[in-house]
Amino acid sequence: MNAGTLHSTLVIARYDLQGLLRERGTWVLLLSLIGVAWFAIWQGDQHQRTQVAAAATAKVQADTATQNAVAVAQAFFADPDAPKFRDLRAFRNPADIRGYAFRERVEFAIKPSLAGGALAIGQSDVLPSYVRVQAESMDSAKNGNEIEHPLRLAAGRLDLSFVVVYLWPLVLLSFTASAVVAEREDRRVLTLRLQGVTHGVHVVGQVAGRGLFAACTFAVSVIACTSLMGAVPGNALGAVALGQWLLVFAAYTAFWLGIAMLIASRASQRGSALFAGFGVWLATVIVVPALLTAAVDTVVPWPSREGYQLAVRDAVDRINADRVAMAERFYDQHPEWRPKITAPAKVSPAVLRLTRAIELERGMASVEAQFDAAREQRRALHARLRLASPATIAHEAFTVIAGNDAARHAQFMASVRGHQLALRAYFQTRLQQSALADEQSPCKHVTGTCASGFGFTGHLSVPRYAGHAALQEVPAIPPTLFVLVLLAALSVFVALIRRK
Amino acid sequence: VNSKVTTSTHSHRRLDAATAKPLWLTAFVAALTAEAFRYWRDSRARWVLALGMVLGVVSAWTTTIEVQHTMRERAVAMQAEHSRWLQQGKKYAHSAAHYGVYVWKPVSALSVIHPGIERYVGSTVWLEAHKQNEFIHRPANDAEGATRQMPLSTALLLHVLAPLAMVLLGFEVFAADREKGRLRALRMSGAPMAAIGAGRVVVLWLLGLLLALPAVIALVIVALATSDAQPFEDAAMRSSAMLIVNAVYLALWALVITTVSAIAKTGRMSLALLMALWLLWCVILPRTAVELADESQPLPSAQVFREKLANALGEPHDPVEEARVKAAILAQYGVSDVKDMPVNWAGINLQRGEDRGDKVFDAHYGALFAAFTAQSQFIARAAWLSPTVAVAGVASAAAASDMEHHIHFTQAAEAHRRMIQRKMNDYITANPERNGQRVDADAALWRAIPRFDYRFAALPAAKWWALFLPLLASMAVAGASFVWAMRHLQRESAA
Repeated sequence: MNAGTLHSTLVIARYDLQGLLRERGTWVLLLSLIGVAWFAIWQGDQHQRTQVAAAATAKVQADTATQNAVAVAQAFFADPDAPKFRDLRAFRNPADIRGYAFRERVEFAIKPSLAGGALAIGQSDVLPSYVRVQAESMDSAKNGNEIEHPLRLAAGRLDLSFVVVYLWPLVLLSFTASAVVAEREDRRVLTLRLQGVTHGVHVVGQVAGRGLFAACTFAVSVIACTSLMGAVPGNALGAVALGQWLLVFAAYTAFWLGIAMLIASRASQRGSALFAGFGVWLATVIVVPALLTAAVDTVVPWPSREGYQLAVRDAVDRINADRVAMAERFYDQHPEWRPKITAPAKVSPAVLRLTRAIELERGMASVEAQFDAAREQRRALHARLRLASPATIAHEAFTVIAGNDAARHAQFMASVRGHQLALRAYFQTRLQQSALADEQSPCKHVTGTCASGFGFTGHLSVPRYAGHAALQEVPAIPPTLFVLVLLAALSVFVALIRRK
Repeated sequence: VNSKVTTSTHSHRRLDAATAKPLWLTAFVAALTAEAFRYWRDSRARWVLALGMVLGVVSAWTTTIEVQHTMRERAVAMQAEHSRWLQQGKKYAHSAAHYGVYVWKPVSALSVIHPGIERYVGSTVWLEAHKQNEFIHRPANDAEGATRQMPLSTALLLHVLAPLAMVLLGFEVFAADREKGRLRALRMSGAPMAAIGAGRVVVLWLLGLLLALPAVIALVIVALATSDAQPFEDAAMRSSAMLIVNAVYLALWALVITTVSAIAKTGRMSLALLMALWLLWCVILPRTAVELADESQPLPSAQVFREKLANALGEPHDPVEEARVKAAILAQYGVSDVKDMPVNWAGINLQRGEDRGDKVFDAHYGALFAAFTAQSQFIARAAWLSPTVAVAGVASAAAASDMEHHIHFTQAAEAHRRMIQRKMNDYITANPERNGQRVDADAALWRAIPRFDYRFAALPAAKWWALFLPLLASMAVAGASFVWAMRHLQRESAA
């Protein structure tokens, strides 16, 4: 583009914008969108604050529980015969490893929120931001959903990413619907050509001028709102989050501007342009993503969840029937923990509780593998198909940079699983050592808890969830965003091809 | 002379009245036919309809497969769990109480039309001793999340996309006549504008119904395939309500589109207004309503709820109360030690623990369900502002896929759990230890526990009225607006 063309484009854009901005409807439309966007940012901010507050309360509960356990253990071992301990049974006694490992210990793993978390709620309302970790199994972590009205989840959230992905293109298309087409309809195009305004200058000048004005106004309002509300922290991380958001917004806007130019270059009437714009919007943001999901569901359906639960019951039944053999196998594998006096069949269920949990997981391995395989196949298929859906690409990009995507949650859960395994190994060792010690010098105390046996004082040395470094990092913008830029470039190219 | 004039005027009026009806009907039929042909010839209409039908077929097909699969799997699972319970062999009744049973929420054929909250609540709950467990296996947790906002379902098609398709099909229904100067020609034909408008409304409505056809066919297929398994006491009423409410909703949109098109100065203005209305009713208000409902009645975080529940359950038993119960029972049997009673103190004590736990669960879950209900009521009030919220309310109630039905099911499952516990504890109470050994129960006791075959209770007429009222009110307003717009158009075309 030479200087003359640029100048012509700017002149066209300026005069067109001056005319557009004189219309009251323009401002009503833009301000309405900004109003909805501010409400959406407030919603995202509220959601994130609620999550952070809940996670903080969970941490307080865990810390308090640990302090209480330490205090109870100190008091108990100082005076086990105190009246308050007379009815304290082992499974509820934090000074007993059986009580502490399986019931009294409270720990939560917290998924750190990112600086841009308020900009897209994503899956963070469905997938919890903190989970309770128990040594025995991952059940509490897997099933610990946050309390929300299910209709709130089903209706979809009115967050900023929703406003940008779904509503913003409509406003942009409404803004640009009369660009070029108005002159074509009023038969003023030839006059413009005679004045030296080329087709390209005309299309780019008007559509890009209107679009960039709307986009800049909207983006500035979003930044102002997030800053005023404190939805994004006022530090370097916050700036990076906003920068990433602006990049995704710019790519998505470029895509829709390309579409707008295409329509402007082809439509003969304003009504047709508007109809075509809404048609493309409907296909892009609703039809294609919906078909994409339907395709994934059809090609790789989820294995039966009802079947999963029946498999769990079958596995439990097998373990119950095989309890003696299970104990034998366990002590064969761990001769260092084999009781010296007690027969494995007579070992207390509490002592073999973690062994039982491991056996249950082993019994469920093939079923879990089916779910894992389905999950992976669905992910791979979805990753391929999403390239056909600009709205899906944008939505995912917004969710990823906010740190509220399903993949990050899976990463979090994987790190929780790693910690849970470490926790289980820790308690298994202590539990078996305690059982051996108790066998050597049986506890005569009414509670069944003695310092030399199942008594436990190592509350502060139990492994704690330390987080995962990758979860703290600023997420990278998904490379699929280039598809939007490519599609935008392609649309502009086709739009600029001169028609007879 | 005056009497002659009066007689002549009266006879003219009679004549007018006599000819008005056939004229109105003729104009209505002619407008209907002409409008249908216009759509038939319009390539844009064919595109919109083709796209709508493709979406309708895909959504109906995928939803049908999912619902049928879920119904089949849950029926199999319920039967398997009941068999497992019956075949658990001889064991101590309290061990059986801990073994428990899983129950699954039944799914109806009507959820083909409106899946409601089903993907966002757990599907199964474990009924065991001492605990009211939470529902697990929420399908939404497995989703990729890419289409959280607009997941393809028949409900999305009927309540969101069909109106949009109708907007795209009908925004020019009168606006184009005005823009192209055809209003006067319409007037000169002598046809009443209301009859022309009604004809156009009906065609637009029929096009909307055409988009709904795949969903209805899917419903019929699933209903026929599972006719014996419908979990309702009022299946016919619910099915009728489902069909009527969707038909009324689409009729409302047909009226609104025709009205707006009749008053808008240009087709562009008509499209812009209708798109704004669609966005407001179908997209923004349903979301805003649920967000504001949460602000109006905040829910506790899961951690706070579980911590309070655990603390309440973990509080030591009231020793005074325990001593009072024990003393009363000892007095009842005239003994001084529980060992001397003809009944088993362990069973009485276990049931006492259950009763205490039940009070705690009732207090905590009761407060939680009350908050959910308050939020649901808040959302229901938005039905007066958005017909989409109104139709979703009726449809999800008909399909039993709303929060109210979920709470009912949860409470029924909990009642079943408590019944199991009471029977197990009664058995323990009635069978004291023999020679220091606990008495095991057998299949006779397990058979005493009926299978949990839950059926959703019939909704009372008052409930249906409450659900339908906002939509009927919207319909009345839309009807009045339509009549006003037609009169306005009549005057305009005469000017």
